[in-house]
Amino acid sequence: MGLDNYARMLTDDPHFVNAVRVTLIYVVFSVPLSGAFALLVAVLLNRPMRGTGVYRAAYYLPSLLGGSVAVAILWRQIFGADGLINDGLRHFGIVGPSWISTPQYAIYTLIVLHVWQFGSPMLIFLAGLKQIPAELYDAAAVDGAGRVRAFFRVTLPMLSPIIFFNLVLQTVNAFKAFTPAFIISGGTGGPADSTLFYTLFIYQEGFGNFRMGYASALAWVLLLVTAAFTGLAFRSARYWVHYAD
Amino acid sequence: MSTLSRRGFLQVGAAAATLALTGCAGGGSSGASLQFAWWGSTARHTATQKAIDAFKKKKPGVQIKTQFSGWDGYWEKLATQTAGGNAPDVIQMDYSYLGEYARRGSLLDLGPYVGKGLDLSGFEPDVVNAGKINGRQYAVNFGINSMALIVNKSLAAERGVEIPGTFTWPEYGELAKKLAGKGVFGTEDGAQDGGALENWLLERGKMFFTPDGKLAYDENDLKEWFTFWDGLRKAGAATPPEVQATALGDVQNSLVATRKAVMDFAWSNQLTAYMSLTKDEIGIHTFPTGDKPGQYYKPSMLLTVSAGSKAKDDAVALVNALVSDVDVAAQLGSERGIPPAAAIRTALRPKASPSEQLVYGYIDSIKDKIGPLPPPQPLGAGELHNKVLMNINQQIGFGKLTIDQGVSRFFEEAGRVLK
Amino acid sequence: MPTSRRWAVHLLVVVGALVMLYPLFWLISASFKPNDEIFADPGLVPETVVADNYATGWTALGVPFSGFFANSFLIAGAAVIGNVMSCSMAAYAFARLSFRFRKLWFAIMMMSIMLPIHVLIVPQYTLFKYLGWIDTFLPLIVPKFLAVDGFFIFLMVQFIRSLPRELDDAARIDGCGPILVYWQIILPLSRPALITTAIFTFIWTWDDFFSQLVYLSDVSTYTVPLALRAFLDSSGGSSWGPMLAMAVLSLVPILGFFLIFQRRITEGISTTGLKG
Repeated sequence: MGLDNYARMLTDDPHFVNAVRVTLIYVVFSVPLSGAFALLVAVLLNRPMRGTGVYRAAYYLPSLLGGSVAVAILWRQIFGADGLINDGLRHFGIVGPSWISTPQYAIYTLIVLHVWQFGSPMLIFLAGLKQIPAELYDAAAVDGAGRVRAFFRVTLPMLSPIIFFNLVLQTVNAFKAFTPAFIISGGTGGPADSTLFYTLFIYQEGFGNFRMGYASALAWVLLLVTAAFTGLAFRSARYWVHYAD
Repeated sequence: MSTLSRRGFLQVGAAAATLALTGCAGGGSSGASLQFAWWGSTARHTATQKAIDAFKKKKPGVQIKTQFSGWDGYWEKLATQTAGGNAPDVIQMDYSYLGEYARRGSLLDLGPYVGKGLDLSGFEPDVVNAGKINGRQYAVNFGINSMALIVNKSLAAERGVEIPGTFTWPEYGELAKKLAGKGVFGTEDGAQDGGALENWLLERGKMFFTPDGKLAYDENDLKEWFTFWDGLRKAGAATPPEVQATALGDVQNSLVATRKAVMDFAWSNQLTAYMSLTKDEIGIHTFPTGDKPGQYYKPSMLLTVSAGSKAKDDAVALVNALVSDVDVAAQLGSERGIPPAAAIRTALRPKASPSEQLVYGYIDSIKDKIGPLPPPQPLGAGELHNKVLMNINQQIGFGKLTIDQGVSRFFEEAGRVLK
Repeated sequence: MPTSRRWAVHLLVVVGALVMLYPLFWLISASFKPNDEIFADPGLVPETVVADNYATGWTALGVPFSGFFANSFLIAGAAVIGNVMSCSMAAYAFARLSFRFRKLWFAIMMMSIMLPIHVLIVPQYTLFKYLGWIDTFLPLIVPKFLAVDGFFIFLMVQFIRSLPRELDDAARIDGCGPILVYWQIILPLSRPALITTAIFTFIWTWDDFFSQLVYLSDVSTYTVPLALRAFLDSSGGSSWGPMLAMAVLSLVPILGFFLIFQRRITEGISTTGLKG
């Protein structure tokens, strides 16, 4: 009888299957995209430039706004039927759908939102870049390596512990993402369950429908899956992460 | 795991609170400290503080600690507090949550206090009964409400269409067709609105639930309902799903306020919020009519006392003052809905704002057209007629399910959700 | 690099920054709009400019907003001190010291990051209730001194592990114990990680609506996010204008904190002298 909740999850709950699907799509797309973007911008902002601080603040700002109403409204202005994207498409004679409220596209607008809020991994990359001793670059320059080669021969290996950190944490956070779907879909996970993130589903079951037991069972499954992914990442780390110790 | 499942969640909290109580020497009526929790916006917070001050003048020695917040977060906090055995003494309650909290033993049965400290004599019988679950008075009505169509009159005027006094459901469809055009739809997609569906059922002599908590309508009813709305969507009279999905239930996103639709299915106490969000002229109108009355008076919100309260008498006294004592209740204004007690209504109506006057007028005007209060809903009813109904209507609208598949999926989910 | 290319990169950065700043512009613009224009006309330029959203918002909850700012500063400031101290110690232990079941403890620490707050809050609440800490700042501050933020522990572990171990060894040979190594070698060299921790802790604590909501009830203990939500009643009327005005003000401290501290990340540290 203690397994009722698990049986129900696996055999008798279409929302569960859907939440898993939505969350996996989110993880698979948003983690690499936002990681790559954050690294790119961090490298750009790491070079000496006038007013870097202001630019960093500007690029961090979307993360600062987090789940505020301003973001929800902005996303509707951009991805709505009469939004900026469709204004742009109209120049090419294309009539775009309402991206944010059509089931097959809604999840991707949330992925874009996540990529746009790349401030935290960016800042961590910046801190990591600062720890790379400058003489390594000097040595690479002496060897005749250009910028690109120095990036691959010095920056990437030296930064690998930080890349690993961002990979693991971004994955964990994507698995338990809640706020984007909550603010954009008003907590419904709609339209038609297309943005029903796993944690939003847990939240709805626990606080909306008072099935705390079921919510706890769902959380255990989340923990198990996330831990398995993290375990795999740690396994793989020995092949590509270079520690100084 | 299942020991702490659905039903257990709130019971554990109530039991913990009772345990704490027995260990305590309290029970005295003066010098007690009350926690009073409500949700609302700034105007309500200010007004309620004033009412509390007025109450304190009448009952010196009672300490009142307030917990106010917006709607978002209120229910998460209350659920956590209840599970932790630390619920506030007096709780402003929404009708959709009343059943959950009452059936799990988290709320005090106020029945024994009625007439003895709790004066409900100025209430209509149905208004009193709206606070009952399984025959017990767990809650006191804190504002009268009814279904209402919110109409964007400016948009209707732009289309050159006059909104008639009353109309049946088929006439409503025709009206929506006439109002539609130029990127504006005649009506929001009401198929997913639980209030609209209930109204439609009541007018055909059916209802949501039987008195013993079983579904009181069948596949054919729901199929007809979905088909009606599918027709309106296809005719361009009702909003298509991708437009409807932007409405999200909050008034600021509603299609009437954002000028996407001329008519919204709403509640009478939301009129003020609609009017504050747009410069358009907004009107209030009854739902479409049928053979039988489809509307009834529903509480916009209720007051409850926690079963674990350590100062039950004082808590009931506060509830009583808020609904029946002119000196206290007058401070609240009409912002929460029409006051349930006749004397308070008389005292407050002249002071109401213009939009509140409209609501008073509306509630008065439907007085002779409303039906009796339907039987209380079983657990999971709110989930079924909000979340599930909306989800399935979206699946149909986006073409993921046919109407027949949607109908059978709905009844499947009903079996899962209703307890 | 040729000047033209440098200018191109610079231009790209500027344009990107403007795109990123758009919501801030929108927020500021909306905070000067009347309630009936914010949603009906969501464009960037207000049709009517009203300034009293700021004045109304400041006192709308009966208590001036300065009190909420003070509470938020207190909680976020204490959290920064707690996290920087405790997480760096825990990270040092995980990265450099060997002790029994280290891998197991590390795995458990990692798992603590994986659960959403929504399933943890009820047991946490019950615990703090037994301690009598409800309606105080203690549930929000004390745990930070006990290294419960796995995110920062893991972050600092990664930073410490990219420091050459020869530095520790050299210090050990000079007679330093683990505590002195932590204090004299690890802490100074981990400054970018410590600053990052401080920035994130401050911002995330400042914005942490959910746990503040659950633990704080009395208006005198309210923080900025709690006060902001008290403007909004999605079931009825909301005071959007004053709320947005106060939301703009609430960005000032976190933006300021970010600007001041991010500079310290970039000041950079040189491991050169120690590398011998």
